[in-house]
Amino acid sequence: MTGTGRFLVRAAQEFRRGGWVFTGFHWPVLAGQLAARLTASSGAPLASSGAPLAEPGFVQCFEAGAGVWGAARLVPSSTTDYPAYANGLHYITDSRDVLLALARRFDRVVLDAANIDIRGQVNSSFIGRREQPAVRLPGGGGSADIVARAAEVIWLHGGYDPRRVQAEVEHVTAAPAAGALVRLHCRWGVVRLGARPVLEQLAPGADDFATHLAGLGVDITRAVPCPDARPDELAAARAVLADAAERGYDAAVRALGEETA
Amino acid sequence: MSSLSLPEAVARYAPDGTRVYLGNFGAQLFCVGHELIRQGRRELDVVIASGGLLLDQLFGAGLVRTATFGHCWSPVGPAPAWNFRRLAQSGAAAGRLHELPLGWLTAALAAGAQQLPFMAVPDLPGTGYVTEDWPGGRTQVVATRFGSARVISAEVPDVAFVHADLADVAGNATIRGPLGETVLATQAARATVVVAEEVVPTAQVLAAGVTIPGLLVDAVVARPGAVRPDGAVGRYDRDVAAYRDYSAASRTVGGFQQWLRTEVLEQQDSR
Repeated sequence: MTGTGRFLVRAAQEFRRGGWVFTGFHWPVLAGQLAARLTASSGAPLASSGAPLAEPGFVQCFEAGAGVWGAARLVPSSTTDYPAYANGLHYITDSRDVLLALARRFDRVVLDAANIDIRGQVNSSFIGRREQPAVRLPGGGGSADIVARAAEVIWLHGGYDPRRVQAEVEHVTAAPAAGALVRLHCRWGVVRLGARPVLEQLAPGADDFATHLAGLGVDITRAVPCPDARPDELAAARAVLADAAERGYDAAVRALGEETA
Repeated sequence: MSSLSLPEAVARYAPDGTRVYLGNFGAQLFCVGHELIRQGRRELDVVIASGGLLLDQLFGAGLVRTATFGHCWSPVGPAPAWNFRRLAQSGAAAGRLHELPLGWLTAALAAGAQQLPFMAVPDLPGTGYVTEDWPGGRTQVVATRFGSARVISAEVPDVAFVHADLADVAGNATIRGPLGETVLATQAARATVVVAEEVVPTAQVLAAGVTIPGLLVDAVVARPGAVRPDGAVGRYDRDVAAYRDYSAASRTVGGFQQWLRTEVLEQQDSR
């Protein structure tokens, strides 16, 4: 399995730590599914729907106002694909509850980050001038609300270009609170972000990433090697990516292509 | 309370210049958007929390005067919402895109529901919502003797079109998925149209649980498959292939126009 699978296994570990996890679009959906499958395969009995009967150890919450226990019936094509989640959809509320009333209570917040800086700020709105941007990005949705009040933020960056990790993003869509614990998971390792950013783990062969971070002022001297994934974890990650490819994830198609290349 | 066909409801409640809320979060009312397009509506102020491809299609068809939204893209892929991107990058959308964090949008609807001018919201220091005024003049900090807080101005749509799984003829309706901002929108709007997968006897709605009470509802439309290609919890799955086909077609203006002709304009809806 390639770096994508190992990245996904590391990201899934953030769900397997347990608790209530606010889950954002894209990579967090896949990491949450992998974590739920690994939890289920570790011995928890399964209901006829496929959901674990026992407490799965973590609950995923979504900005539309839902809490989901266990693995979805299908790999959801996004966080808004509720028919896919329906077998585990046991807490139904609204966005105001999740984004305003519950935001500070989640154990951690796991979100996708396409453009991120070493302080933990993300730009998902636009590149260039607001009046006529060079690239119009989708916008932040509820990310700003949830990140601003989260005690722990985990950003997942699944891209292939280290330059997407920047000294400072051009526009800030979401910014963590000053005291929050903020980490970035990517295929090259794990970085603690904030006022004093530190490279915590480095993947094999990712020396260029470490050099890039050093150029941004990140302390890379304390990095340890990323722990390798177990074969069963990598097999489960591959299965999630295969299902995700069927459900429209371009990144999963690319990841599976790497493997066969 | 009226039971209307979809064309009748759109004609009656969404004339040119209307401020239209379109639900729901993750189950978008594509049938309403497509009917707005077929009826040639113009100069709409559209409120859609999770914009998605529905908002993209309204942009492409030229209906939108302003958009108040949280984000706009194809969640499948994910892929850009190409019409939205083209419009913004051309400069033609300057001043017309009011981008709100979703939490603030729910607060704006809550203010509208309570007939208050604004609602206090958690501040978002350092973000463009504050430093670059992405919401377009809708927020400021107010000082009171209880302390200071950022506030967002009330959102009051002229009409809210919302999706329900079940409804009765009195307008009581059941939503089976997460509620997003949908119920708040019905409370804030001047009129509400429920578009239901199925209109059933009241006893069946009561057994399933009432999410939207009939006192908030002005009209009911029975429309199976109302949110396709999105999915409806317990009824049908999201059509991922349709999403991907739309993303591929809409990469160019010509491709979008062809898609619009075959998938919307030539599909008359008389239900």
